[in-house]
Amino acid sequence: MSQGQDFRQGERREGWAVPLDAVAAFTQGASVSVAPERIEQELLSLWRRASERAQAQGAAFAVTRACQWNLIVHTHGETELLSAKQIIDMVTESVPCRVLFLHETEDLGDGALIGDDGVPLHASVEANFRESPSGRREIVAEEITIETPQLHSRRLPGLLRSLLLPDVPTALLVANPARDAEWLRPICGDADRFVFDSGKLSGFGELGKVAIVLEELYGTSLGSVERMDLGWLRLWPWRLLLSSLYDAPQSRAGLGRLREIVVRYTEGGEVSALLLAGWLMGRLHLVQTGTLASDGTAQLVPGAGSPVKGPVQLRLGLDPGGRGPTGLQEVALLQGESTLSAAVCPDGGGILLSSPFQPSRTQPMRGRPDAELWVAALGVGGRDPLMYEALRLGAALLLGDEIFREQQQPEVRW
Amino acid sequence: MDRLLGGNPLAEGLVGDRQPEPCAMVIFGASGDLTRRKLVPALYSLARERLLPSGFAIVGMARRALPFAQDMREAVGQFARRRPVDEALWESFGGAISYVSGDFDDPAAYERLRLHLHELDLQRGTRGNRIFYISTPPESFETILRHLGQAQLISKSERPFTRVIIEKPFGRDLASAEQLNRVCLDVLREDQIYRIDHYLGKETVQNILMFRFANSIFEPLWNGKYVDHVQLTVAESIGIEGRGNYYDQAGTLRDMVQNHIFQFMTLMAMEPPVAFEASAVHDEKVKVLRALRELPMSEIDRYTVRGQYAAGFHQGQPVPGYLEEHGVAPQSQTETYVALKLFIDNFRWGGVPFYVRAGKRMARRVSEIAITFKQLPHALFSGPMGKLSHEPNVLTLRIQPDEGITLKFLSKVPGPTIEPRPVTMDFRYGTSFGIEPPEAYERLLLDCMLGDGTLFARGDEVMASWKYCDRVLSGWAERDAHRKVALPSYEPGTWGPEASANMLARDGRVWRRP
Repeated sequence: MSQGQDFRQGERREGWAVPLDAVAAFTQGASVSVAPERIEQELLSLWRRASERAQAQGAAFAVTRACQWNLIVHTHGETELLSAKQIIDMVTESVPCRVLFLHETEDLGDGALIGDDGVPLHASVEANFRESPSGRREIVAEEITIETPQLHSRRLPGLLRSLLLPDVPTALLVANPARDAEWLRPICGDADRFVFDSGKLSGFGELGKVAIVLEELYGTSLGSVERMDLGWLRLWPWRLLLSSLYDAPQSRAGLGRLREIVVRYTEGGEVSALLLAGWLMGRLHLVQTGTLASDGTAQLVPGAGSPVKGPVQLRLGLDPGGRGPTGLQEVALLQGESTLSAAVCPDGGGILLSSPFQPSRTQPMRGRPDAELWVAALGVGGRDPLMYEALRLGAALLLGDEIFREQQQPEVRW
Repeated sequence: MDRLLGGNPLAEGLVGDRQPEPCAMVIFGASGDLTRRKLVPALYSLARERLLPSGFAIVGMARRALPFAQDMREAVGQFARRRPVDEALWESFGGAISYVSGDFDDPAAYERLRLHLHELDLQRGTRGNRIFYISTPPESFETILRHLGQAQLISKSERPFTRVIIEKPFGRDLASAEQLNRVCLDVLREDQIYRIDHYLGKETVQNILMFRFANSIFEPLWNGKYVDHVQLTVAESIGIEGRGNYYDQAGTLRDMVQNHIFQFMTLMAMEPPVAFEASAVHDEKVKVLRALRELPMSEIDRYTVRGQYAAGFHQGQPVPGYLEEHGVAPQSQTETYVALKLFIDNFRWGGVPFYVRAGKRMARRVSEIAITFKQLPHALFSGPMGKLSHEPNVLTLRIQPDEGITLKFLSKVPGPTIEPRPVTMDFRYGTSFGIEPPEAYERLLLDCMLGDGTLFARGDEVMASWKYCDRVLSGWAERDAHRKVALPSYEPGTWGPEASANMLARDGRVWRRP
């Protein structure tokens, strides 16, 4: 993916002091300011002129647009915007999207227009393009950035809707929907998929808030709007390795005597620990008898269909020196006299799997880059009923399960 | 589902990500080009996509001693789909590569292999599951299979699983294919045998089924009532590339038609399977092959055309003729071009000719299926010169390069006159999905690890296609014995000999220029 220059090393959007006309700037990946009410017309004009110019310069093929998703990305502050734009450069390499950045900022510069509601808005457009394998250039996707200090603007939802390409699904990516849910209400129904990132949440409590906001926005049923958590996708290697501990029939037989689950997390890994605990509770049909105590423990009992035969203590604990790549340091299941565990190696270079029923082995584990997670969230990986289950059970450990009982529980089906 | 998960409650939801069970893959012929260019780079790509199981190992096996892991590091650096190599990933992936040297007919080599695999089960958690990839010259296939059976490295038991992938060619005629199949079935169940044809791993070939059976608008037209004829083309721009010894014994019919072309022709022509699963798909494919009309031996020249490329220029460079290639007999009657006219005698395709052509040193490299629809019964639009002739609609499934689908239809040229002009609606993978399709071997190796044989050839399919090709080969042999004349030659960089164009001209049709 190219933006005219390689911006992946944190250089994106810098160094555009070179004077370019609008078409040249657009096709080289620079940002072109446009009036908010004329975004679509300006884009069409830029594409047409870019195509004409390419043909006049002897290009064998006209400029082409491609789009699999409308992707609305919320960002807050310059650092988040820059980071999100760098990720998008990589995401659109695999999944061409029309990206609509909804950027919350006080710093709009001189180009902002103040609407009837008194809210200033600034809009700009950019192109993402790349060289095709055959060597000819193909425009892949386009980005529209709407900047405003107030996302509550009454004209924003209508403006966003007018910019969604028809016959293409829409994804809404909001890292922390609990931070300010009000502006989301008018537009959440326009999304086919809602993506958030529990990895960006700090502390146990924020996961609870996110779970409540999501229930308010979309209810608990799987419904037509799919939800996905990038933090959940980060846990996938842990789930895979933990499940491999139970490939041996003896380890599965021992589940009946499960008495304790220990999840140790690193600084900032509280939410990962809760989600993993929620996943284990869901898969093993364990039911909480109360909320998580201040010492990180909770009592669980087997529910209907559980392979476990007696009560289980859940213990979440901080490992201050931990080096786990996804916020987790160790997960151990104690069943009878046996302990099955997956733990980050002392050098941080892999996960040591230990079980009395299999030879110990070290499996490499790398953190997945955010761009890879975004691509997964927009693909089949974005439909995972187990995420709902883990989120609901993890949040219920904090809030009590009564809060989710009044509504219909999601049914996990395959 | 429970069988797949083995009753593991934590595996639920992970299997949906197409995550195979732990296993070791043994590659026979590890010193060969295929291992270096395709197999190990494909496995590396799977590792990069996180599609390999947590317990996985690659074991190379060949006659001579090799620094295998080191060679594979270079190969991945050179041939992997995504480069440069991710060093952190290589550290774990490369650590899973090992090598056992030995002669394929030496029982001691198989004993060493057995002990080595047992070690890997303990060290890397491969859990006794084995895949043997036989990528050797065909004359070693039977030897390896027999020794694997004798060393109890393969068995017909379900668990732990053992699967064998066999590279093409699966036999060189019906008799040898049947013999090889018997050896396979002595030591394996049919569902443990994966006869690989890398064309079936191409996205566009797989997309034939999606296109036909996931869209409502095409299937009603997919029959002799609307289709005039079908053209299947597999053209290569290269020559035999130094493989004279092999190619002169094979020829294009064996090398391309019996496997690649017949495989995608069956996908294009078959009835909807009752389910998208291996046995249902294979059942329908084999029905197509059994419905192929028997070739009338007395009219073999009307239904088949052979040719050899002559010396000349290709893409501006001088190139030798086939008979001048190293390893080719001076009087060789081996074809580098073949065209066939086939009929599938069933309700759907009765009377619709399928024209097939494949060749080397042709104008360009292209593989496609083109479906030409029938003309309208009446030309409605007139121009100054009278009734306007209408070009037929053509639906083209492009398999390589520029993978995609094109529909040609007529449109009015803007302006005051009524002038029709053929235009196209194009779907291209590159612009619609933006991504580079995975290599065919990535898909096929993953499918084998998952135990999914849908994209591999079943034994009865292979036998049915050999049965047809055997008859063609016998017809040619009979004709040569009766009156041996040199095969027609064609200029490099053309679309084949004149006789091929004449075959269609007799039917009032022409070959497409793809």
